[in-house]
Amino acid sequence: MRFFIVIFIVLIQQTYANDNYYYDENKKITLVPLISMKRSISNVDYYKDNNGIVLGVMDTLLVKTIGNYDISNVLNEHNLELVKELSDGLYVLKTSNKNLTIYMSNTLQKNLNIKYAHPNFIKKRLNR
Amino acid sequence: MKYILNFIILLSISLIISACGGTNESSSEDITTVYKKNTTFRFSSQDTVGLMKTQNKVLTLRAIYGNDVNFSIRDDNGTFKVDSKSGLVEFISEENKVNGETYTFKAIANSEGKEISQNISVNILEIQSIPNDIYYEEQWYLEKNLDLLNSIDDDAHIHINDLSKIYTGKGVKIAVIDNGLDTSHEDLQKAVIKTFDITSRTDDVSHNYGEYHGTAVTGIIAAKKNDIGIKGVANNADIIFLKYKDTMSDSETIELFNKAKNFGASIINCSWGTGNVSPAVRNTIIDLSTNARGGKGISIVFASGNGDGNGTGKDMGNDEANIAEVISVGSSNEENKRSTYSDYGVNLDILAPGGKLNGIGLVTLDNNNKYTYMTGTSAAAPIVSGVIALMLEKNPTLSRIEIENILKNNTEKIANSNEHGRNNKYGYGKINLGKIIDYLDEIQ
Repeated sequence: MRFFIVIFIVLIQQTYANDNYYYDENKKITLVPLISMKRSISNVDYYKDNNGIVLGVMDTLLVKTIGNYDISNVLNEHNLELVKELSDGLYVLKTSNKNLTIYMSNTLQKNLNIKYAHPNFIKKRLNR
Repeated sequence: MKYILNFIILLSISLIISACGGTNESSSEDITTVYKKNTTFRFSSQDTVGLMKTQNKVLTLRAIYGNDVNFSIRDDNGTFKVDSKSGLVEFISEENKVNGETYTFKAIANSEGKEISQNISVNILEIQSIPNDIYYEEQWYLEKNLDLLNSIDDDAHIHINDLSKIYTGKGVKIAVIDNGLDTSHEDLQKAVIKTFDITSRTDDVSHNYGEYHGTAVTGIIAAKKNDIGIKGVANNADIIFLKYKDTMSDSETIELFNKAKNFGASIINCSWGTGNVSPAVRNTIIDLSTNARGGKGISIVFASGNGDGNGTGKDMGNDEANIAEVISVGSSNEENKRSTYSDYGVNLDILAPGGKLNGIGLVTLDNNNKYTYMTGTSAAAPIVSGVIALMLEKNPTLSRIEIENILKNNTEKIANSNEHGRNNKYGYGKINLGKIIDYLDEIQ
């Protein structure tokens, strides 16, 4: 039974996992998918922000909890896997599919026990 | 030309100064001394403590006369010219000649237009050769030594002057997050104490083809003062080099910042940016610059950026350099003006020499024991990191906020800087090490 529930959750998530924005804390940032790159078999989907900066989205997200909130609550509820704790209350979490990462980040952003949540973006560093 | 390093001859000879003049105004004093070219002198008198050096035919003298008068004299053509910060003291050459390895002059000291009255008695105790890094004369960003093209403004540098003999960044740990390092470079020997590569997760930060940036940035901060290459701003500082990937995740970025903290860095130099800083990275930077170092905060220095690609600066936008808690560094040039390409914004703090497009650039290290010229805010940021190391050497208890305030309040107002504050293109003005050290002296 549990198996079917998990499958059901995943299917529902997949259905709605088409957000083209993320939250910079409470500010909504629009993302424009780079279609040609998205169709690649890479484990990274690419987007552009309003300033033309290319952002890669993998299957991981960063979540900062408030106070002593137990991250396992989130893991269980959303079928997420804990990858590592970077610092106090700042976690790298893994989704089951990279297509879920933005949707899951936006969902967790609304959780009152979470300070911020966003994809673990990949970015190019520009030497100056 | 290389000069012998650390050649020190202790002289018990008392060289002399014939000081006529006693204690009255309008009396004059002829000061005669004899010294070898390319030497540094340390005077024994309590009243007169000074340093002299020659660089080829250039003579520079900096001294403290009495207890509180700073002055310097430069002689580049056989006659003395006053280059006094305060204008209080002037030496006038009455005689100039070179006899083989010796050089003789007489001088009269004046104060505010009046001849000073103190007797000056100078005994030279020590003569030593100057470490003469072969490209030092081209380091216009530290000190104006050589200007073959006559295109470098007299004040384009950071006024390091002889402070580099006193402060070297000793004991201060600076993390450099960049793209690869020539750890065996002849001019970085013993400068690097810790390394970490985010890709291999080992201590191997060696450079791949095309990765010269990390070596160049590190050279500006910490190239050794010796007989080779150049002299870094903080040439005795300890470097922690953290190698990034050009394309890297936010979590990897945070790991590198945390490594810098765990390795004990007081300063983190970042001559790069992404143009889009994520909340997790931003908050990590804010946390480290506020709470690390036992609550004093790490000084995190970012280059502001080099504009739109057409030589014109742009707003920093949502870049790491535009975080209020970061020390954001733009570029000034050889003309002592803001570099046109230098990015700007409400959180730009300060300018430092980075050179102009198609200009001379900043001489620094290249991979494989070579040297190169670097232009951009990438070159300006490590100058500020180096200066902060000198500040922390002088006063290790300074917090990041205190450091930032001292930097901002002791700038040189150049070109269109705001005389009484800041503006978005110049920040608070151009960094001036002389002013900073004077201020630290005052508050100690």
